Amino acid sequence: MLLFATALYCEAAPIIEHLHLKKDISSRAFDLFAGEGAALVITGTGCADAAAGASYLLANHPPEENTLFINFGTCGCQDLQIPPGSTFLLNRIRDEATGRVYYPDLLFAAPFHTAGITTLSRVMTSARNSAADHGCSNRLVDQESSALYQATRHYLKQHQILFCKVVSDHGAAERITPDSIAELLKEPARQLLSWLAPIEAALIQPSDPFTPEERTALCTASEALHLTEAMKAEFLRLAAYAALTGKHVSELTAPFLAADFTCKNKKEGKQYLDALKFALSGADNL
Amino acid sequence: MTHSNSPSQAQTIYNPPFSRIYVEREAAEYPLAKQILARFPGADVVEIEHYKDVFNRSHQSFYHQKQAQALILAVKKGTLIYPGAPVCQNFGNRHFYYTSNIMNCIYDCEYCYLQGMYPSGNLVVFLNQEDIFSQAELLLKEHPVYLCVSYDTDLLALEGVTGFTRNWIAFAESHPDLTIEIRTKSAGFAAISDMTPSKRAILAWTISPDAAALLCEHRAPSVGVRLQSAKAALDMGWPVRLCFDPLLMLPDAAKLYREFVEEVFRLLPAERILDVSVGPFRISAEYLKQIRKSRPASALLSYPFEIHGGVASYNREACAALMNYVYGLLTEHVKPEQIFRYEEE
Repeated sequence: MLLFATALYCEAAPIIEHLHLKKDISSRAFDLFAGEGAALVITGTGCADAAAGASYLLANHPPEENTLFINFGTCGCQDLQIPPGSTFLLNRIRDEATGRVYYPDLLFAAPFHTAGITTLSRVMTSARNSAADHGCSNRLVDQESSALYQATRHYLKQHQILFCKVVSDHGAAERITPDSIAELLKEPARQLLSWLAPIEAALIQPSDPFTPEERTALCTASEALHLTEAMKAEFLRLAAYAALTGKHVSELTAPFLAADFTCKNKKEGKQYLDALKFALSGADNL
Repeated sequence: MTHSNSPSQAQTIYNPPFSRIYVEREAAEYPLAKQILARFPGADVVEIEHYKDVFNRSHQSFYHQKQAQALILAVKKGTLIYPGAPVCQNFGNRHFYYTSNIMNCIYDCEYCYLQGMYPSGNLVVFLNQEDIFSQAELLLKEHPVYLCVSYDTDLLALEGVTGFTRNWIAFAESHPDLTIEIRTKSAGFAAISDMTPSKRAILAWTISPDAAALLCEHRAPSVGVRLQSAKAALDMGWPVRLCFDPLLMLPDAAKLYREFVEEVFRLLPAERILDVSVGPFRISAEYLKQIRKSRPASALLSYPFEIHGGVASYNREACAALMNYVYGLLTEHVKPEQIFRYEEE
């Protein structure tokens, strides 16, 4: 699943449009949009709102192995050589207020350059009054990244947290309107979404070695053996080992599913489990 | 075994290895840092204060990071040489130590304990090798030292990047009471083949039957080329150790190991081998728990291990049978006194 957080609606607009997201009218705390395999929250500007909004999104859409969280939006830039519309993935986030520095994982080959950002607690008003004045080499500035990183790392693995920032201005008297931002972000949003799709698909690791029928048979066999939850977990691991080493799970469960099979209690069940464990251990193969 | 946790299918989405290099501010001053950065001109270089700011972050995925391994250049402080661990063999050496010039490895073996030991799959290179030498010299003032320099990494595999192996060999050669072991799965002997062989630098190759290597030693060189590398070293007169460790409980293990031992000694002259080690797969139970989570489809790791004293290994009977069987095969080629068996404490 793709989970997006933007500070403003105009930053969210190209994502909403591309993914055909619909507003969740039941959401009261934040504006939330959702569609097939994706959701987006508009957090508002500033650290507190950003952290609260991201937590709200992740609480409403609990992350899985292939979830990617993306902070998408605009940022200021202190380097006048970098034109508006330039798009970066963040590799370094410095929180101006605390001096702490965070390093998002960038594991996936991307069509974007990387850059560091400084999260300020106020709006950058000029290129000079920016991150450089705070002893930091980061070229970009915003008001949310450090808070989003700190909030989302409680829910996600590092590689699932991504920051995609588009330069909107240099802190000078550039005229920025919601419409101009939405226009500016259109192409980066398209690029971002086409980049994310294969990553999301590839993050799923094969984890269930059983067919649904095998799983049902294993559950029935567990009941026949009176296994406790811990014993059942061990039974499933043994079955997984059997399956992964090319054995048929049905051969393993068949004796316990036979009409004439009897097992009085969990003590007897454990004896069957130990025998199975020994049989799979390879002890009699050498 | 039919399934493995091979990352190959998803590899194309990942950045190439070492395309991100984190550099501690202090490490940046080292000439080696400049050499390494020059070797990877396209890398995304990120300045950091301390390697732990990146390496020790919470909620990292060792597995995914390993597919796009980043390099961290750092300077290590404090203790740099440690007493050898009980799960490791001392080969009859009383003063057994190890050191970690590099943390993590470029290979991706499913059974590797580093997956459970380190919070990150990224690779940390400590540039201050001279400081480790200084600590070794302090120890050498007290007694002879047997030092394993390539335990938590594969130093020879990274020789082209760091040059550490060469430095270690030269250091051992100039310190008569020091013997070092350089353990490797690499085929990179050529990187040091211009050096004069040193009797105090043991080159130790970890080898497994091809079936095991293909199944679970991802990105490591084939066993065939490892053996060719070992042969080149032997031919030049280097002391070579062969490590049949970890022994893996594979289907048809007897046939696999019988054919494998024959193949090894067909290629390598047994009489010139320094010694051989043999030990079953064993790992801290805590590490195993973590690794199983990150490699749920690994047949190797889903085996019903037994836990004794916090260490997970194969069923004791099965383990003893496998160890005795391989030991027997080895005694057909090398003297029993040359074979070091891992014994559970």
